[in-house]
Amino acid sequence: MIAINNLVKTFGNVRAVDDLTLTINPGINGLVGENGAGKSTLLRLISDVYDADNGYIYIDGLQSNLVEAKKEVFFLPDDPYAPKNYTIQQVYSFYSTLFALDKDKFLKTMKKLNLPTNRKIATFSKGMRRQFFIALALSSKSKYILLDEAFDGLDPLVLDTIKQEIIADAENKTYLLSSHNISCLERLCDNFILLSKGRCEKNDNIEHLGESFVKYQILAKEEITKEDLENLGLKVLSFKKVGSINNVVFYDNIDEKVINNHYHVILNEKIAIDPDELIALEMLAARKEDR
Amino acid sequence: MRRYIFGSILRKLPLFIVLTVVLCSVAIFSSNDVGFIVSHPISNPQYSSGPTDAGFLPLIIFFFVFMTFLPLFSMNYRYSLAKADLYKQAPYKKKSIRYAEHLSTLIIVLIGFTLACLLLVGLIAFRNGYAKVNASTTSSDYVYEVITYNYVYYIPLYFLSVVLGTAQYFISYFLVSRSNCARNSVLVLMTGEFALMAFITVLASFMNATSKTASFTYLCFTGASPALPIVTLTEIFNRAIIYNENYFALLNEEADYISTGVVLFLLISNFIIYFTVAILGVISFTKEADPSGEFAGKPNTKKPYQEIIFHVGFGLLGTFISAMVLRLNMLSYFLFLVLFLASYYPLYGTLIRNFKLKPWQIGIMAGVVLFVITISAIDNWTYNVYFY
Repeated sequence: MIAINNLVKTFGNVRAVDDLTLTINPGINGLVGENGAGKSTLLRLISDVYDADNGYIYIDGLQSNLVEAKKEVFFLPDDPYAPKNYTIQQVYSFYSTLFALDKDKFLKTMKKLNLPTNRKIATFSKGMRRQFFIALALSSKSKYILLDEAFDGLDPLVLDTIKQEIIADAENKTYLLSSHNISCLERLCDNFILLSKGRCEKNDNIEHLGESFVKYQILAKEEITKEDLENLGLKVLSFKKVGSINNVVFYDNIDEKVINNHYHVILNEKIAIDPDELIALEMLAARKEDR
Repeated sequence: MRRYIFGSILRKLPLFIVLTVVLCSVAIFSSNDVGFIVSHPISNPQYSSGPTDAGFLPLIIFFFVFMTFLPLFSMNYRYSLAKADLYKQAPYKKKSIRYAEHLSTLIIVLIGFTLACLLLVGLIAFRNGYAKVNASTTSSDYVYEVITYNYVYYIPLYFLSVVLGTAQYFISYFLVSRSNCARNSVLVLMTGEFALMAFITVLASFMNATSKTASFTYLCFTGASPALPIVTLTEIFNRAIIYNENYFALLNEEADYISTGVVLFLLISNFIIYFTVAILGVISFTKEADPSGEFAGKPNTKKPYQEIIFHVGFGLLGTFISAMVLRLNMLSYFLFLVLFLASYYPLYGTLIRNFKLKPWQIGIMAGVVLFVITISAIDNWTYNVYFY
């Protein structure tokens, strides 16, 4: 388990991580948030790349800057380093002088991803390079694997294969996957951590996300606007027009009569919210709360 | 950690090959000079007594040049965020990574230097044997003496070079580690090395001013003395920038101003300056914490002494060149001052990565420019009064 207590990290006048207290449990954790929410900073703080200004990070009870704790963490940044003139095999060897890696597992994953090991890394496309580094991260013997924007530039077929590999590997490991693209984390993560302006807004199972939010499809003879709904005392989180139908998400359950009495309603129906959309709505709620 | 050091040495194999090839090539060319001296001892009177550094001198110069610039290469691991991401998260103490990176470079360069020295001594032995056979009857005893003396001389000189070369490495480390970005490290290294050389040269030039101690200083400068590598650099510096004439001739021509005691004091002062900076380098190497990863590749002007070193070094460089140019004519002097100002602002702006200077920063620059003009004017006045 990774325990974070009152963590603070500032860059000049910007508080990238602001008094963050958080627990990262075993399994696959998604770290989501807007650009600049502090996701990458948090991963770098956990992996001891950055020094915290304040607060502590404990990895299985050990402070994160201790060698024994660092052995348990493997961090794959969004732009990992590899000497340009090295072949894949050489890059693997280079990394293996720094980290404990499982070669058999690495080769198996490379084979599943149809990646050659004798080519120079400079000849790889962005997606292939990304696949190689994920294979490298999967071969790590560390208990905690942190991946930053790991799925950027991957095609859906490869993404599915990698997701399966991560799910299989997560039985005895903890994954922390950061992404601003929520659809990549769909049907992968057990738990979501929502960051906003360096603070944790939510750390919960996917089933508990957006529990209070309700979504309605509304069609009326009159034009409906967000402001009108808010003037009726309803707390609107999201308002979108799709053709003539209005998709409205409210923070809490509403009394449908309020709308029915105000408009000549043709359709006023409560519909389910997609898990994917739920995370986006949580992010939106966090942003509004900040304002 | 052993695995990492071994891996680091393996990664630096291309560097090792380049270093060794360069140093061995220098050794091969230098051995030609030694052959020449041995074959024509009468035409090289400066080598007529005592040990000679001929042959070793170019090798030491190259060795010192490598020792000056290699810390930049070893510091590579903290010049980009991508590298910081990799090296800082590695399951080792952060200082261990620094030790491994620098020590592996030192091992490589010392092996290369040792191989080149062995090659040089081997070639000298070969050529000397050849010279003995071909030497004329009248000079053969003399040739034999020089040869045997040299063998005794080379071994301590090798160890002295290694010690001083390592000191030079840590001096450069101290300068280079003032910044986390390669560009600034180069700027601080160049200006810092220049400032150090300028101080040493000023002291050395006092020593030149006596004929009474000429033989003593001569031994200090060219003999089996730890001063040799420093003075080698000083000598190059002197010849190129200040005197622009034969160094040895100067020693004999200058008047007798100061006593041997003063010369000794100045010589020791030289060592104190040199080794103080080297010790600062070692302290910084062992004690100073690496900056947090976000500073990788960034100037990090909060690092102590970075700006001071730059201003002092750049100011001294300007002073020396402007003094030299002023002796030529006023037009060249003014042109140089314009050039000096034109390069000072962009370089300082690059160093602090902010071209909008604050009033106190402009004040420091103005002070440096004033210093350059004043010292070059005083130098020109004393030159005209005492030499003409």
